[in-house]
Amino acid sequence: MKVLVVEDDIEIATYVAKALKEAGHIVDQTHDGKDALFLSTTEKYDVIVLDRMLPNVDGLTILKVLRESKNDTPVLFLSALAEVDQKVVGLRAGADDYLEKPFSVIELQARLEVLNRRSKHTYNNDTLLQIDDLQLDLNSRKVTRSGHTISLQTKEFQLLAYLMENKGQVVTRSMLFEKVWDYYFDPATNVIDVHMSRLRAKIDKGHEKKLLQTARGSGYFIDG
Amino acid sequence: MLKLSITHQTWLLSFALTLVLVVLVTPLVLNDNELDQAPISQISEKISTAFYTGGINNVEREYAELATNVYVGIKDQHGNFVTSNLDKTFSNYLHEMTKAELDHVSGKSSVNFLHHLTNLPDGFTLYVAIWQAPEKQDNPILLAGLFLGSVTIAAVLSLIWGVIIRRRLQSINQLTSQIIRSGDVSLRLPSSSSSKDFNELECNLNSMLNKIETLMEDARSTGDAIAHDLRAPLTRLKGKLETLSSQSDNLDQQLHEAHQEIDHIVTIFNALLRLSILESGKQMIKLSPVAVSTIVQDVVELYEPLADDKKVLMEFTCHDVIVNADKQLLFQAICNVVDNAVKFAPEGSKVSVVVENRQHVHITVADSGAGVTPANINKLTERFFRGDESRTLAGTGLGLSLVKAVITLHQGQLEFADNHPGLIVTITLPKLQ
Repeated sequence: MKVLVVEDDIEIATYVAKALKEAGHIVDQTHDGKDALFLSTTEKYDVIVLDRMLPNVDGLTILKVLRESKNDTPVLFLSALAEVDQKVVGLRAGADDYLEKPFSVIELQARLEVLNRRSKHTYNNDTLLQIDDLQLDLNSRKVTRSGHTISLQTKEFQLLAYLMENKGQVVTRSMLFEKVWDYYFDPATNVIDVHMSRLRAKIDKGHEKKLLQTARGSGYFIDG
Repeated sequence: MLKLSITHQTWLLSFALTLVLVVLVTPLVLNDNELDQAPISQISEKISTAFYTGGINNVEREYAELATNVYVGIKDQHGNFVTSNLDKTFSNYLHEMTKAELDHVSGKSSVNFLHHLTNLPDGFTLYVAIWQAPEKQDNPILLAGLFLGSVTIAAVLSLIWGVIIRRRLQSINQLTSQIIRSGDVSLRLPSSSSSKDFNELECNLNSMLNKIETLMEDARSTGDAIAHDLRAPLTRLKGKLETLSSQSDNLDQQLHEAHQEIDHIVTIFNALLRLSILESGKQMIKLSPVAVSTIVQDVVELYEPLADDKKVLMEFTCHDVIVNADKQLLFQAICNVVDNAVKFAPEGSKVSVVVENRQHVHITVADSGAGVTPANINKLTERFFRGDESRTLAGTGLGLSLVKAVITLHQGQLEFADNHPGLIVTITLPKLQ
């Protein structure tokens, strides 16, 4: 995918761009708000990483200009502002996702890929998700593996559905937490891990092939 | 002794002084007051002329032109009034006065009544009296004297008062400048002053000093704690990186652990930053009606698997009640409390979470862990405070400080009690009216 990285700290912008390039993406980077406004309105990007504080034109203004000109390129907002409601401010202004500094590049990359996938509608429009012999029906909320019904609790079902919608894609703990619980903060302890290990026990236990994988230090993914 | 304010003392003294001056000076002023003789003789002449030219009828015509404080009457040879503009009281008064008395006062004033007698033909006598209102009896010299006297006494009094106030202010100034010079905020003003104002000022200054001392103590201990709490993960991180550069096997594990250390440091920084934003009140929280039960249930569901893994039973009892809250912040606060409870609950015990709808909303989280010693119970919300039990467990030492800040922003209260054994944490929130 083609990514525009707008970040006034040159060092951060450079290592983010480097990591994304290594993952096979095309990356443009700029450190100035005016350049960012020019690039984002003239070039076509798959996703934009936008810092909140920028010289000349700030991130929130750029985002508003983009949205007013009916440009719906997914935007991930970056910010060092730790106020709890900054996230809400960013999301209300039309950002698709929000990441607080300091962030891990793995987390950023995972979020960008999910954003890109979502905007390209690469999800299966079917309500029946399938990975290997694991099936999940979004309508009937029925989950089976090799034809055997697996009974999941509400949150477990939501976790599995989210992972299956993003097949093969690493999804971080905070992404899972935000998506499934709809709260924005990092629970300090390993609460998400416990939920995931329960889910894993339900879908992989007794099966030769393990579908739910841990991406160490970052999160989880599911693949056949 | 009754403590009066300086203002009250001054008022009282001035009042007393004025009273004394009035009592002493007024009789002097009034007794020596010389009344103007001119108008009364003019009036007498006028009335006499009217009598000579037109008799009693003519006199009565003149009444209308007389000022209201002028009283006129004519008596016949038997001493009876044949005409008068006086009312009954004054008639009687004049009637009862003997001629000798009237003669005596005629042309001279009594206190504030001026009489004049004129003998008319045929045995008739004309009585003229002028009632003088006391305030008209101005005596410039005496008033000036009175004024000067008052000013002098007031000036002397102010001077004495000034000296007293100055002396008291000096002691306050001395102490404050001493504190500024030495930086010793443990000094306090003695609250010995008998004046209510000064006592209040001293009390306020002392409580300001208390606040400053606590803040400085907080800042100092926070600084120490930051230094301590960040030094540990930084040391471990340094160690891991050193090991990494010297040995290449087990690289993955070492790197992973190094990442975890950094995450821990970042978590501490974020929590500190968030805490200072919440405590400074810079964070404008957006309150909206939320169902407490939903939020608490979300927390319980989030922690249930973790508790389950530890063989800790989570009990949840709840009443439906709506409060005005910031959903995100309240969730985070309750998470922190439940996180602690699950963390400290021993295997096989239970953690109970109760939402009660009473006069206020009570959210109670009770565990049966090691609890907190009474001495430490008040330190629970201090930054970086960690009981002996928790030192070895993961955490930032900022969880309950954050809870306290969030609950305070919600006009609520955070209380701790002993569960014999264990800790009971109660969050009290005002109900939505």
